Amino acid sequence: MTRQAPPRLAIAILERFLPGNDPLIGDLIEAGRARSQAWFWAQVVAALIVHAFNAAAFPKRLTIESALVGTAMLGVLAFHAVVAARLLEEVLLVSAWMPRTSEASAPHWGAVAAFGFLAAIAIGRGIAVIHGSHRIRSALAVSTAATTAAFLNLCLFVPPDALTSRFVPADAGTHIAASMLFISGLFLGMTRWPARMGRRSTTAALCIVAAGLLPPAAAQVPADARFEVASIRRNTDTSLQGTGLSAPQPGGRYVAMGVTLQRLISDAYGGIETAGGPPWASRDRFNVIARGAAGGTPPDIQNMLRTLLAERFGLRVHTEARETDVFLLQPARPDRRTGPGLRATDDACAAAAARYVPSAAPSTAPPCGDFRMSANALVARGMTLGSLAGRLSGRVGRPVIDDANMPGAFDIELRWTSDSGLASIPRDSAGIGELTPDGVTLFTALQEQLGLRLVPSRAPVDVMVIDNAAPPTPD
Amino acid sequence: MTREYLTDFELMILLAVLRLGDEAYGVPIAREIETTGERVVAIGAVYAALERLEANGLVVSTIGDPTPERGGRAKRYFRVTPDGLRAVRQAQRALTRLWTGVPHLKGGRE
Repeated sequence: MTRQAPPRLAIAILERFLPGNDPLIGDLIEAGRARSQAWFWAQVVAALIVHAFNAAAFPKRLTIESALVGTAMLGVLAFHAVVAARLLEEVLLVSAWMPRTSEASAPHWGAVAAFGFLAAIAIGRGIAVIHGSHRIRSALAVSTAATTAAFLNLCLFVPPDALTSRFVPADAGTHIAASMLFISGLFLGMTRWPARMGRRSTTAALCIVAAGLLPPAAAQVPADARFEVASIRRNTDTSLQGTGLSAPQPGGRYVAMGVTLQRLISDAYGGIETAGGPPWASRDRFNVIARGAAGGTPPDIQNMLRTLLAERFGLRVHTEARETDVFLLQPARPDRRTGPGLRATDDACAAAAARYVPSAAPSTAPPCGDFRMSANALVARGMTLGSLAGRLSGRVGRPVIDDANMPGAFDIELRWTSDSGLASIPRDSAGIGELTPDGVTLFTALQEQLGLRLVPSRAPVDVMVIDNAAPPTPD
Repeated sequence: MTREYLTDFELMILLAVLRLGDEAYGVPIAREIETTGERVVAIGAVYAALERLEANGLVVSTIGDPTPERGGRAKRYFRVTPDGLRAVRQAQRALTRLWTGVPHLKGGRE
């Protein structure tokens, strides 16, 4: 048996957590003279535990009631926290209502921020009505949960290339301002309002929130851009590779065979990269045959395809500028002299290319405005370098940005024999059997044949983020 | 009084307080239970039970003078109230009735 002075730290802990219990501390000191320090510490821990249980269960007649009320409170708080976090995430951070894009206009931003503020007031009023005297603790719980959810969402689910640094999004200021506004609204909603205005203002705020929660897809669809007839069917051919085949057709038609939703989105929004969305968006394939008004141009067909995707797939998207790895397409020589495979097209061909609508003639040489691309060659007439950059993106596996500053249309003939540095190519692509690891790479061919080069860099690239997509409704 | 029945621990504490008389404070109460009740108790648990009993009106407490050997802390003396005594007797009667006629308990203790 060890005789030692009682540990000061243990006594300090008792004084801190069990204030006003001098007799208990005195008893422990008295009894502890004949005991070890381990005994003393065990007594302290036991006292703290018993006190905690005693405080929770006391008085006994309220034990069950306290447990039930506590459980209910926890459930309601958790519900509020989840709802608020979801609202914060949907309304303020990632939804189309808060576009983080170059399309975002100040008036739109202001309206969204005002809506979020009103939503927060409504949530705050709900907490005040339900929780009464616990409103501050409830607000803190909701705010903390919402902030934590937003932070976790940012850290876990936002692709790294969307961040300028590890945890700071490119528009962090916007997020912080929106969050502060939301939390301010939350606390404003929970303040004690005069009885007469409380119910009316709560009802008004809830109505505004309910109106704002209506599906915004309809607002994104121009009323006049719609195919007259459209069919979307699942394509269950498992041998298909790549993203499928699709193109606008003469007569205002759009035909796509074995395409993924990502490909459809890319077609509808000018070849932009896509991000997010459900897994099946890049996996499931569809055949789409649609016909609009005769004489529809490719831009018209694009608009009609956007409407079709919104109506049939419930598609909601927004664009974001994301800093990512790219290739810059630049002149390879300081004197900007082009190679033999890149020649300025004649005026007649350039004019024809500007109003060109593709037709199904894959085996012939491309007409002005069209191109033929296989696994080892690209032949084009009347193609801009911006369009060339877009075609090369698919081959090199990262965005290619036209940085050549060479306006006008060109006739292009580019051939390479190596698959080195290329992204995956569908195995049934024409010319794939002629590629070898040691041949001429696309990068070398660009320099030698076109007088252009691809320079690795990082740059902000617009990405189409899928906010919502569902399997298509039946025809 | 807000409850009809005592827990066995509360009953042991009340009996210990009755046995100790004017010297009933935390340390001897715990020692009394350990020696006569053959169970190890934490002084904190004793205090927690005493506070419940006091809240139910079964014991009352008074604070003594601070003493150096206790680090300048005072003792808290407990005394059983008439209600507490009535609760102990009620428990005694109930237990006695329950003990009576139990075949397994005849012939001494195990």
